[in-house]
Order: sequence, then structure tokens, then C-alpha cells
Amino acid sequence: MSSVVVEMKNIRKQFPGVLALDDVSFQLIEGEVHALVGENGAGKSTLMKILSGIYHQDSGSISYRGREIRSLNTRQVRYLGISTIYQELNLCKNLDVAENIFLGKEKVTALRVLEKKHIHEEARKYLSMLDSAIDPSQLVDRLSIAEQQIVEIAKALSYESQVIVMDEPTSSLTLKETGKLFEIIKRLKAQGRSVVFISHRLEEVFLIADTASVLRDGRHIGTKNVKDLTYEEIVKMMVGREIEKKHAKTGTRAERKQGEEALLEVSNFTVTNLLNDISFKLYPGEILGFSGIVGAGRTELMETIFGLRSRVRGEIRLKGRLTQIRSPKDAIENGLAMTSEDRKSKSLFLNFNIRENVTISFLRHMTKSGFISSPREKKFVTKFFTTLNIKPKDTEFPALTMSGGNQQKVVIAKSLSTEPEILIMDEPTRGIDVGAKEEVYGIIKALAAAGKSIILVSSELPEILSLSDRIIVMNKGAVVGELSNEEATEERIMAMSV
Amino acid sequence: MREAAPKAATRRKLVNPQIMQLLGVSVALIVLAAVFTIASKGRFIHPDNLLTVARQVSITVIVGIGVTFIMITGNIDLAVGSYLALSGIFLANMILLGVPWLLAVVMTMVALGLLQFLVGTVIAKQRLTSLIVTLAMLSIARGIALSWSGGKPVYIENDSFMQIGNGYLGPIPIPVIIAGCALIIGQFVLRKTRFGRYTYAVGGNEEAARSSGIDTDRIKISVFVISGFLTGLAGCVMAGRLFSGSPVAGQGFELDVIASIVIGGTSMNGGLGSMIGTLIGAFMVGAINNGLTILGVEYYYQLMAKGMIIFLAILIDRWTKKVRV
Repeated sequence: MSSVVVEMKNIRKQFPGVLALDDVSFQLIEGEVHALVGENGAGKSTLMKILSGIYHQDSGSISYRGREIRSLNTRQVRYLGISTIYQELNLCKNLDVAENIFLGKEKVTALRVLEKKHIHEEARKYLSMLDSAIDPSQLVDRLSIAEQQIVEIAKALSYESQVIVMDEPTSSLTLKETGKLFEIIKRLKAQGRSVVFISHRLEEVFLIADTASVLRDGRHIGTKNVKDLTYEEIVKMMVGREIEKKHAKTGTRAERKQGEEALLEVSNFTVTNLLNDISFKLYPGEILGFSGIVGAGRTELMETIFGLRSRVRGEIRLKGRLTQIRSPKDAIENGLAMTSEDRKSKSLFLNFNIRENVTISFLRHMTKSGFISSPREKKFVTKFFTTLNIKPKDTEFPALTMSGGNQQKVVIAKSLSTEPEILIMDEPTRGIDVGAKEEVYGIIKALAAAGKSIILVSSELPEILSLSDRIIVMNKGAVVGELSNEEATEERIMAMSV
Repeated sequence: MREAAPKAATRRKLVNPQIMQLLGVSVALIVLAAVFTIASKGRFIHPDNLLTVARQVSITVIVGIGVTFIMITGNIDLAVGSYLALSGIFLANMILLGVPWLLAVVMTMVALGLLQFLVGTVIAKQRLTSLIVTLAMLSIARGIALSWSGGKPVYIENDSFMQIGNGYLGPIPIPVIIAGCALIIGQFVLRKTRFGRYTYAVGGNEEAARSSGIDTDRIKISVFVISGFLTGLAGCVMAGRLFSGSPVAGQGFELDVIASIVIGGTSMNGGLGSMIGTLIGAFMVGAINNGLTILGVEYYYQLMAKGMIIFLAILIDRWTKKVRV
């Protein structure tokens, strides 16, 4: 069981302005689960996109089962036996499970009419290989993310794929669903297939992978058997420096002063079907964490506070004063700022460069006699390069081609540009690498130390535990509990979240 | 991302695709002009002809500036041709009622501005697509123009007004001066004012724009109003040239305008674009119209040629915007 299934040699890929892959080699062995790790921008997704035919390498070779493959399109690669499952999931929501599995390979009768009868049975066959009870005639739209992922894997099976690449498959899954996914991966392995597993979550690498390859800045740093590796070693390869693994629980606030007034008080927030009579307080200089599973209503709550959603009922008091917030503009004027969960669709302007992105909320102060002054903008933005360590340090760099971590820092810079007193951060480290995460944590702590209040929504328990002074747990649109820094543990939070 | 990369040369020289497109179109324009000049044995290049081209292009440019604003926000306006006719009819009737011509011009611009205010409000607040709404307005406005005028041109007999369409300031036709001023102001607003930046923001990512504190409805409505003013003005210039308000003026004009804008590099999706681009695009379309006419090419073939150029322009637009991988 040690034959090489995929061999990528000396792959080089240049994009405008950046060398994404520099002489990278990668080998996949039959029946192994091979983790591909690295910081954002390291080149992992790019490497796999070249394998799956989305991009073409500038130089270097790819062979599959000993035969060199060249300039194939994605369809051809799929037929060859290599399937890729993306983080964003490539299913047609308006079609049912079976139709999705057979998309592009629909069976037709002699009269070229779609043959629908057998596809449900066939689909069931593939789903049962994964021990899944999903109904093939169910509309994909109705399935959970975890179930949609299973449909994607079934699709890969229908192509008799020997190689399945999974790009950040667990980012939207609960703990339980992740466990189920790992069962499936073990099954695939038992069937003699190979899995490439791209993930930021190093704990998962140790749980499921046989081999791990680390990329950094477009270069292949090393490949080792997972059982010969330690967490610290992988991190060091990824980042090039030592990182503390666990954070001490640091509440950044001193004892709350007696009778201190809440900076923000939210009362009885209700939004039909989404939020149910939510109330809480936020004190100056504290980091308030919001925990809960996907769908608990945290993002909706924050969007409502920020004026992006209207509510049926509820009041906001800032420093005791009743405040009307009906739009993000109102929120910003009242000293709030927010970084959204999904930066590409909600916060970042891909048609703008760094400077234009950062200043957009604060343009009033970038003007000289009424007109925008580029020098003033540049000066303003340059400050953030140092405090947030944004790369590249070029104000005119287009946001489109930046790595996820740096894009996130640009979004944070934008939210800080208006000098808010309250900063709402919704999943601020989603999709960014260990190194950048540490930087963002440092930024958050520094902001709190400087007296700002931060509301942190996060699905990563270690993150929320190490940063928050208090943690509010939400479940199905309601607040189910509040824990102080000392009382909070992962188990207690999980217990309240489900 | 490799920051300290030795490939610093490639990293810095990110060629702006927008500039590349403008350069490409400019070259194409020069080549086209050369071809027409040779084919028409020099008639194309004759100063009188160039003046004619300049005058025709002026109207496209004036309207084009407004529509560029609209398209940068990710919307579109298909009704500008009908508005052109409506403006002319409105103006002519005001003058007939005895309103001094300058005031009548201002009233026309305001009237169109108000009309577009309504259109913009419907689009923004009701969240209807601009494509459908302005498509409806195309018919409605044309209908109003025709019924108000009884289907016949409304003549304007006013010598001083005639200057606006046919007069000169020195050697330069007045319409060209008007277009030039509008262009400079338009480009300046786009690049140097907060309003202009917000326009790009709304087109680039409307949700992000809203989250950043921009009143996206206000921006959307404003670009339509601006377009209304400019179209009203262009309608007056045209009426000046025709000595009348014509209910059938501007048929098919929206195609010329949109083609000019897209050729000039403004993306149909919004978020990108410039006035200079619209100017070059308008010259391209104007040159094609004029050149083919001089060469005696039948109108039907002209339409086909124009259509193909638009098609090519959109292809090139997609091709240069995608990162080639």
C-alpha cells in the first residue's frame, strides 16, 4: 500500500504581484490521509487548485499514478479520479441530492430525455458507502452544511475518485459532525482512497492525518509522519517561530469597580424567529465573549445592535442614555464599530485597495477643503501597517489579491478608523492562520487595555476562553447563561450551547 | 504572501488593468480613425467632419457622464434615449409658453432630475432592479413625449437659444464646451469627493458599503438625479441643434451611451470605471457612426457593425478583468 498516487514536482506559480508557489513538491501515497498545513497565503489552496485543474502551473510536473498529466480542465481531472471539496461547497441548492451527485453525468434515454428513475437508487448506493441516511430526493437547500458536505463526498465517490481533496472541511461543522466526517475519512481510507486534508486546526491533523506537509510563503518546508511530529514542531515550521500553544486565561480587566455603569445596555431584543428577548450589559474596557453553536443567533444579534437588521422590540442604552440605532451609520456615529463574520461579502471592498478600504468609514476626516486628500489618507492608513502588521505595507495594494489574514486585518483597521469605544468582532480569526491569529489576539487585548470594550463572537472555544472577561452563551436565539472568566470551561460552555 | 521577496520588481509593477484597457481602446481608436481616413480619401479627417463628430459625441458624453455614475453603482439606465426626447419636448413647450430660454433650460434639467429622483427612489427603496424599472421608463417616457407633442416636432423660434446647439466659443462648438466642462466636473467628483468614493463603494460591495456607514439608498438615488440633470441638459443641446423638440429623438441612443461606457472600461457589475474612459468610448462609437456614414454604408450594416463592436468591447472587458491563470 505504498504506491505513489499523485506526484507534484517543482511546481511554480506566479500571480500578478506575488509568487504563490516556489518550487513546491508534494507526494500523495495510496490509502493515506495527508494533511496540508500552512498559514494563509502559504499556497495550500493554490497547490490543490493546480492539481484539480482550476489553475495551471507555470512550471513543474504533475503525475497521477505514474502518468504525467498536463493542461487538464477541471472536468477532465474529475473523470481522472481526483475530486475536490471546497469550503464554500459547490452544490446547486435548487436541485435534490441525487441530481447534484449526477450533475454533469445525467443519464439520458434513447430520446435524449433525462432519465430520473434510477438516479435516486444509485445515489442511495453512494450515500450508504458513507453510512449516511440522507434522502436522495431531498432538496439540497434543506440540508445542513455537514449533510451537504456528505453529498459532495458521495459525488466524489460516484466519479470513482481515488483522490479526494478537502479544503477546510470542518470550518462550519460542530464537534459531533466533525467526528462523523472523520469516520467517513477513515472509511475512504479503508477503501484504498487517498485524502488530502487542508486545515488550520492542528488538533485535527493529529486526530486524522497520517502525514503532514507544511508550506510557508509558497515554499515547501517539510513533510513528516504525524506520529513523529509534535504540535510545537508543526507550528514552528508553519510560522518560523515559537508560539505559545495555550493562552493563560487572561482577564484583562481589574476587578470591576463597585457600581460601575454599563457602557452598553441591550434590553429585550426580539426579532421574529431569530432572537428572543435578549438582554445584556457591557462594561468599559472588558472583552465580552459570545459563545454558542452555528445558528444560535449571535451574528443576528450583533447585526441588529449595529443597525443592519430591524427588530420587533428592544432598546439600546449607551452610558445610560436611550439611543436610537437604525442604521450602521447611526451605530458608527455613536461609537460602535463592527467586523463582520464573512469579510468577503460583508466588509471588504474587493474593487478597492488597502487605503480606500480602511478610510471608507472615516472619509470626512480625510478631506482638505472638501476634497479627498490622498496624502492624508496614506498617512492615516500607514499607522495601521505597524499596529496591525499588515502585509504588504503598500497603501495602494489591491485588496483582492491579499491573503485572508491580511484582508481581515484591513477590515479591522477599517473598524478602528472611526475610533470607536465599542468594537463588535464576529469570528475575527475565521480562515486565518496561527501567526495572524496571535497578532489579532494581541490587538484585541491591547484595545481592551486601552479602555475599549470588545464584544467577541467566536466559535473557537480556546479563543473565547483565553480572551474573554465574561462569556455569554446563546442557544436557539436566547441567552442561556453567563459565565465569568474563572468559572468558564469548555465543557460548561458546550453543555449550555446544545 | 512573500513580503521580503527578491521578486520585488514583479511585485511593485502591478499593471493597472483599467489603464491597460484605456490604452488599448485609445490605440484602437487611432487605428480606426486611420482606416476611415484612408477609406474616405481624407474626408474623415476634414475639420468640418471632425467638428460634426465632436458635436455628436458631445451629447453622448453629457449623458454618458450621468450614466457612468449610475453604472459604477452597479445599476443601469435604459431610458436615456426617451428622456432625451422628453427633455426636448419639455423645453420647447416651456419656450412656447414664453419662458425665457435660459430659465427653460434650467427647468428642463430640474424636471428630469425630479423624474429620475422618483425612478431612483423606486429602485432603491423597493429594491427593484434598475434594468427592469428603466426598461419600463423607456416606454413610458417615450409615450409621454409622443402624446404631449402629438407625434410632431415642437419648433423653437429663438435665435439666442440656437447658440446652445449651433454656436461657437471661438473655434470650439458650444456643445463641446458644455461636454468638456461636464466631463471635468464629473471626473473630479468621482475621484476627489466623498460622494464619488461612496459611488465606487456601493458598486463594489453594497453590503459592505452599508456596514461602513454609507447611506446606500441616498447614493443610488443621487446618481439617478445627476443623470437626470445631465440628460435634461443634453436634451436641450440636442433641441438646439434640431431647432425643435423632437419626440422621436434619441431612439437607440441608450445603446450608444452604454457601449461608450463599457468600451471605456466601466464594469457592468459596478465598482470600476472612469469618466475619461467614457470619453474615449464615446469617441469610438462616434467615429464608427460617422465613418460608416461618410463611406456610404447603409444604415442596416451600420447597426450590425455597432452591435459587433459592443460585443467585442464586452468580451475585452471580461478578458482584461479576469486574472489570467
